Amino acid sequence: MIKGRTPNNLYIFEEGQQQCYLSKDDEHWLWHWRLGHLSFSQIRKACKYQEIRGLPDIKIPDNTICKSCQFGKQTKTNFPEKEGSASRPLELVHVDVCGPFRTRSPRGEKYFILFIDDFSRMFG
Amino acid sequence: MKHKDEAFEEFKSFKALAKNESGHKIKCLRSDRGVEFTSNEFFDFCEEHGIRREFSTARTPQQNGVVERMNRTVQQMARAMLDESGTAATFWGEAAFAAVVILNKTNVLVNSTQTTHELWYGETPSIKHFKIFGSKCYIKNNDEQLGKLEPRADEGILLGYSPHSKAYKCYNKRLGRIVDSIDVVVDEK
Repeated sequence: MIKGRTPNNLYIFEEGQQQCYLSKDDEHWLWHWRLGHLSFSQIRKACKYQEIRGLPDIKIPDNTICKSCQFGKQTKTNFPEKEGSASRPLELVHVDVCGPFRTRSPRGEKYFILFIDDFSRMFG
Repeated sequence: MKHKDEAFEEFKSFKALAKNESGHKIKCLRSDRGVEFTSNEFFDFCEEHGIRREFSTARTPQQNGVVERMNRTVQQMARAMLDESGTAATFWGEAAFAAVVILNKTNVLVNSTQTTHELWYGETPSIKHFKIFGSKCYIKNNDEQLGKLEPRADEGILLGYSPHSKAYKCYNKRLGRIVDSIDVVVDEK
């Protein structure tokens, strides 16, 4: 951060004033990295109980997405709740093919297909 | 470990260390049914020291959940640290060890207000010395024969914290090996 005067819309910096400050915003990332990409919820927990010497009080940043955390720890998202179902027969039909079975049927078949009506759960 | 059968020796040293540090004795050892845990010498040793054995059912890692879950946490942290720093994958061991050090000092268990470190040692941990894994660092060259005009430092990579000394563990690029040193300047940029 540099302070300067602005006569004529020109920033004038006095010599010997330039210094590099670590902004408050960077501190939480610094500790996130130092603590081996520990999740911010865990860092907050550690701050809350003040049980660790040398750890400053860290706020959770607005954007907590960290590239390396995704590469190292990403998991599948939770499967969403069902949003609603059909209100009439045959409005929605579920289908899947099952097989191949190792043993063929007497007619030489290896697969079966299943249709399920969402409303009545009638299947065939 | 190079081979799984070294697990027995590792257990013996862990047992001795744990007993000395905590003043308690291991009462029960829960593991899966890996061959490294079911050898005769392992059974004999545990019988001799009165340690009860508990095994998960075959192919049922759920019953060994505590250690399996921590395995995952450690691996995730090690992967994230290796990725962020671009450190070579051969240093996975150092990354995993650094992850264990960090987790022991910062992990606050559910239903507890204390870190793992404090529950074990009875004092609050200090993390003032923590630096970013894989940072570029400069290691002071302490060679007594060093010439007047030779450089005073070697370039290296920070690989965590020495388990034996109050020092950083670094890979010295000039020597091509891992060294412990306290005279380290770390560039966390």
